[in-house]
Parts: sequence; structure tokens; C-alpha cells
Amino acid sequence: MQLGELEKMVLEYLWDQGPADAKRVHTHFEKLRGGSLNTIQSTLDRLFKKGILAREKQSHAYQYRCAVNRDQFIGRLINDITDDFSIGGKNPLLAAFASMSSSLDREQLDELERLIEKSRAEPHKE
Amino acid sequence: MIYNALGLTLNVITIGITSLWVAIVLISVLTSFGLRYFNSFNAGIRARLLWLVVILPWGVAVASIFLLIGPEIFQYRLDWLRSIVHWHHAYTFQIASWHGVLLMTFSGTFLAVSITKFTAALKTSSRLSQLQYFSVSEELNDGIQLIDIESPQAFTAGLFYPRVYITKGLRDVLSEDSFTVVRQHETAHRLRRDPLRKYAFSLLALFFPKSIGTKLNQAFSLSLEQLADQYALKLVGDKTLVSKTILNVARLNTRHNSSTKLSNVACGFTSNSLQLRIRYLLDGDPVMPFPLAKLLVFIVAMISVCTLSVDFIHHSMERLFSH
Repeated sequence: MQLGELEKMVLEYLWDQGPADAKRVHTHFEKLRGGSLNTIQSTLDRLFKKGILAREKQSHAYQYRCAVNRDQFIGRLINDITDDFSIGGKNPLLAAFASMSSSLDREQLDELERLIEKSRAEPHKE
Repeated sequence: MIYNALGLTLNVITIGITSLWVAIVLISVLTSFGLRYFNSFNAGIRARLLWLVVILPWGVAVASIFLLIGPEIFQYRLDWLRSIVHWHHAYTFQIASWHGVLLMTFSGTFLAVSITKFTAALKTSSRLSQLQYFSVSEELNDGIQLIDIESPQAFTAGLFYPRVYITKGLRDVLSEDSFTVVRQHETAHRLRRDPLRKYAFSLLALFFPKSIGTKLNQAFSLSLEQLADQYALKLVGDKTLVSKTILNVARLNTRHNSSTKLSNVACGFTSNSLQLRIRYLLDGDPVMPFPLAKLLVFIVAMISVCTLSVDFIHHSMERLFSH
């Protein structure tokens, strides 16, 4: 999922400050970097459409809150990154410690465990 | 009709493309049967052989250009070669011919491939920059980013300035020794700039048929992982510890992944890769030396066959369709 600079800042703000409407977000960012209310409204709308924010109408304005917390978001991001190369090294931009490992079932892992234990025991047999 | 230097350039490219495609077809056929033969070599030799497989078609293409255009340019000195292979219209290129079609097709494919790879690189870069932006991480003394998150992951990313990312979720469940193994393994990837190697390799592998390209990428990835395992092994000196760590991290990944995801990725090679890494560690490096003589014979044979094929295709086309 691609996020623009302002989207990242708005998301960060909502994680820190909790739910807010466009006006409140705009008041905060107006002091920091300027920009119009419309820009903030469309940024919030884009984040909502991307599924990162949830919203509900309160009187005439939408109240936005984060649909995922920071940990969940980063977890999802890491999973996206690592998933890309877990399927046959599809993503060549990364190298992972246990890449391509999640495809083994428990029995196969147990079998490997036995193999390692056998190897560990071998020098003592001599 | 295009003449002179531009005509020569376009002919050179056409010869290169034709030879490249012949070489890719031949190497793909050989690779589909012979990739297992590479397992008789240690990971370092295997990685070099795999590089050779993906670079060879381009080398063969360049050699074919010299062999086919050479006799036309140096007619008196290379008359013997001219009697075997030649490109009799080195300075004349007709766009509305099979040469033109070949050139257009290749340019289209090349463009599509470049865009695909560039987009993929951008996508990953964007995700990584988001990770840098949002994650709360601390930097360990060896430059490793320790990310404060539960999911057990460790990976190295970044083309020109690779960085190692390890999650606290992984560190907290591993023993100190196992964590050292993970750190050393990832440090090896960082020092060797493996993400860049993998990316460059995958660019060249992209010109092969999809199934062969995937196999080549997987084999190359495996050899890089095995080299990183060897690096960690040299430092910790206990092959069972390294093997056990790989296995433990695999178990953690399995537990963390949903069952649907497991079924999606349960294909042959991926299941084998972990086994191959552990067996490689436990059994030790294969001792087979680099097959230099065999390779030289193979390269000469490839150049000869591809150049003769280009000459044959060229003359057959002209005889059948008169361009």
C-alpha cells in the first residue's frame, strides 16, 4: 500500500491524538505546514478508502479514527514485505532468515529436528 | 531502407537478439533437466554457475555478433570464417522485414520487463520507507534495526545500502546463541549486498521462460542463504546450533502464518529449501571442484551452435520469404 507524505503524517497524528474530524486535523497541520482544509479532507478520505481509517458521521462532519493500531499496521507492512519473497523468492530485493520456510508442515519440521538431534549425537558415538 | 552506421547498428542488434533467443531456448532446455547437477557443488560454486547460466546468453549474443559481422567488415582477413557464417548485408537494414519484426518484438518485451521490475522495486522501496517512518526501532551496535513488534521476522533489505531488520518478537523468543546466529546470518547478507545480487540476477532470469526463471531464482536464493548460513557457522562454530535456529525460526513462522497462507505456498521447491539448508549444514560442503574445463567446452559449443543457428535462420528466412 502506497502512502504519500501527508497521509503518513495524518496517520501518525491520529495514532497519537486519537479520533478527530477534518477541521481539527487541519488546525494542527495548518500551523505545521500550511495547506487547505480540502487537502486534509481528501487525505482523510483516501486513508479511509485504503482501509486504514474508519469514520462515522457526527452531526455534519465525519469523525475519523485509525482502523488499525500502529503495531498492527507495521506487522501488516512487514508481512507484505516478507510475503513477497516467501513464495519462491518472488521479491528479489530482500534476503530473509527463514525465507521460504513457512511452507513446511509440522511433520516435516519434526523430521528435520530428528535429523539435527541425530547429528548432534553422532560425535559422542565415536 | 536504412544504410551505413545506423544500418550496421540495427543489424548488430538483430543478430544479438536472434542469438540471445537461441541461447535462452537451449539453456532453458538444459537447465530444466540439469539444474539438480548443480547440487553437487558447494554454495559458492553453485552461485557462480547460476550467474553463468543467466549471463551466458548475453555473452553468446556478443560473440555471435563478432563472428557474423566480422567477416563482412574484415572481408580479406577473415575469408575462412566468411565461408562458414556471415551476414551479407551488414550496412543495410530493412525495417519492413523479419529483422524489423524481431527488433520491435524484443524492444516491446524489453520495455515491459524493465517496467515490471522497476515497478516492483519501487513498491518494495515504498514499503521499506514506510517501515522506517512508522516503526519504533532501536539500532543495535552492529547497525541492525530492532523493530518493536511481535511478529517474528528477520530480513535484510535495500539495494545499495542494505539494512538488517529483526523484530523484538523474534529476539524475545530466541536464546542468546540463536539470536547471534540470526544476526550473523543477516549481517552476511548485508555485507555481501545480497539484495542487490538477487535483484540483478532476477533481471537476467526474467528473459527465460517463467518456470525456468523461477527455478533459477530459487536456486540462486538458496545458494545465498546457504552462504549466509556458512558465515554464521564460521562465527559460532556449531552446525547443530545454526540448523536448530533455522528450524526454530521456521516453526515460529509456521505458527504465525494462517493456514490459508500455508496452503498457498506449499509447493515442491519451497518445502525443500529449508531441508536443503539444514542438510547442507549437517552434511558439510560438497567437495566437487569448479568444472572449468567442462565449462569452457560448453561455452565454445554454445557460441558455435548459436552462431550457426543465427546464420541458418537468416538464410532460411531469406530463401523462403525474401525478407
